[in-house]
Amino acid sequence: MESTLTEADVERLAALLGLPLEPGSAAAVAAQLAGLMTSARLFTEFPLPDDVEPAPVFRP
Amino acid sequence: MSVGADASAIAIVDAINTRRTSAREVVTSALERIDRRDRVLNCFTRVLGEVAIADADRVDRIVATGGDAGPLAGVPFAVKNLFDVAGVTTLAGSRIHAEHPPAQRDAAAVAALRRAGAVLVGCLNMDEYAFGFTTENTHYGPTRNPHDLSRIAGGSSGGSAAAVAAGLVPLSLGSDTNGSIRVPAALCGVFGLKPTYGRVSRAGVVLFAGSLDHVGPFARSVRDLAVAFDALQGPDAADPVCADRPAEPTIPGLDLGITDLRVAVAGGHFAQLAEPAALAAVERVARALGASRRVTIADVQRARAAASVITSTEGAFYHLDDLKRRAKDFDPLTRDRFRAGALIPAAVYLQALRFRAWFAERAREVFRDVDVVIAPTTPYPAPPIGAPRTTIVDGVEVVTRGHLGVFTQPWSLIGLPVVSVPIAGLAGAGPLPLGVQLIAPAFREAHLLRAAARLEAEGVVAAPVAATRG
Repeated sequence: MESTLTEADVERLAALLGLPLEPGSAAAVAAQLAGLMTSARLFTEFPLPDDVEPAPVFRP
Repeated sequence: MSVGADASAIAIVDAINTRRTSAREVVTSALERIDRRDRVLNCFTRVLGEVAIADADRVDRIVATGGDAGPLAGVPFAVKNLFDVAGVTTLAGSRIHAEHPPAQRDAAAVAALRRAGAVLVGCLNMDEYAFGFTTENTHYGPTRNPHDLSRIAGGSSGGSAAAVAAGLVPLSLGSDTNGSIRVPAALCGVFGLKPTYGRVSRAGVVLFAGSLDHVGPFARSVRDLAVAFDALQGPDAADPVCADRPAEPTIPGLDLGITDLRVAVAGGHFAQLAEPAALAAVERVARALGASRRVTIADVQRARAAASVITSTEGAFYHLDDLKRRAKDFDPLTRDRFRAGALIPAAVYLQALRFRAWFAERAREVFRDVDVVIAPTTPYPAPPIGAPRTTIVDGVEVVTRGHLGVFTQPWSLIGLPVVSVPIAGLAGAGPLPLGVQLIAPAFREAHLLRAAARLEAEGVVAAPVAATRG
């Protein structure tokens, strides 16, 4: 299933981050983000064992 | 004696050390070739004429007094313009960085090649901030493929591959996050090495996606590639991800052969959605290396998705301030992709990192009884500059530019070393070359270079200077 994102969704997310979007640009950003989120389901919906760490250990 | 465009780095070193030519003569003729041909090819964004001649003279003085000027004495080289070069502004393919002051010192990799005697002659074109597979840079123009000027050189290290393919220099440096060394190496028909993650220092390199960024060399022969890699590898405290592990020189074992190496062909994902020529290239390499076995690595499409999310998130984070303040100054080809990356939820990014750890373990299982895996580098030869957004491969519509990384992304995601070897004369590819990836477990670059050397000795792979068309 494809991720659906509206221009309004993207404008709200961008505002949360303080990222200005010039008029007319939200649609293109929404299309890019929808593509990434759709393909991300390939791994977000894939069950991983609980003990898999997200990143290498931080060494102070 | 003049040294031609087709001279290898080691032939140049030999000619200089035996006084059949001088470093000044070699570097001068490289600068003349660049002057004559680069207006069309557009590999270089900066040529360092005077500095290069002065460096060449320094090499000649050492040789004249009987000293050792290094394993790359007098070899002209050039670097992707995201490597710091003392006294030069590091563009990273962008207009924004063009406003930065000149770098104070050389990147570690540039310094390493200079210490080995190589002479830096310039800086090379790339996709903005390395975010692309094509080097169709809006600010600095597209780099043209020396085999067909109407086609892309590949990217993001397109200038680095094209400059070597065209015989402007025998050696160059690039970076690889998802395939940015291997893709242009394949499309331009040269050898490219993406070392193990952390094997070569990235200090002084503008990062794209730090947890995936590698740097490595391009060359027209395996031995040149190995000499450069040996000069580059080793620990460096200035790069926090550089492995604390001594250099393991590859040159001493380069001609040992491959009888002790277990070689297999990657099936599944790596045998689909590619033109027949790309798969024929794999078969030719497999035959020459005696690889009859096939291995399947599970969940490669998921790995590719994870690589894209990690790249977009980390890349956007590096440029977030500029995206907020001056998005209009980004290349239109990268701007919205960076902005989309900035909006990816943290949970998705962290799950991509978890998936990477899991996928690395699956790959380790495959490599328990295999030493080298063979896979295509790209699914098709170089597309035209300005190609349509999508193309049909194997009856399926794919994104023309993004699909170039379909076979490279899974390996860089988990940091394994890969050599892309060039192969030409394939039915369906016309005069255009293709590449085949040789992949090994972490820190086993020596195995890859031995296999590549065998293929080169048997005439299966080669990187002659391109006969320019178009």
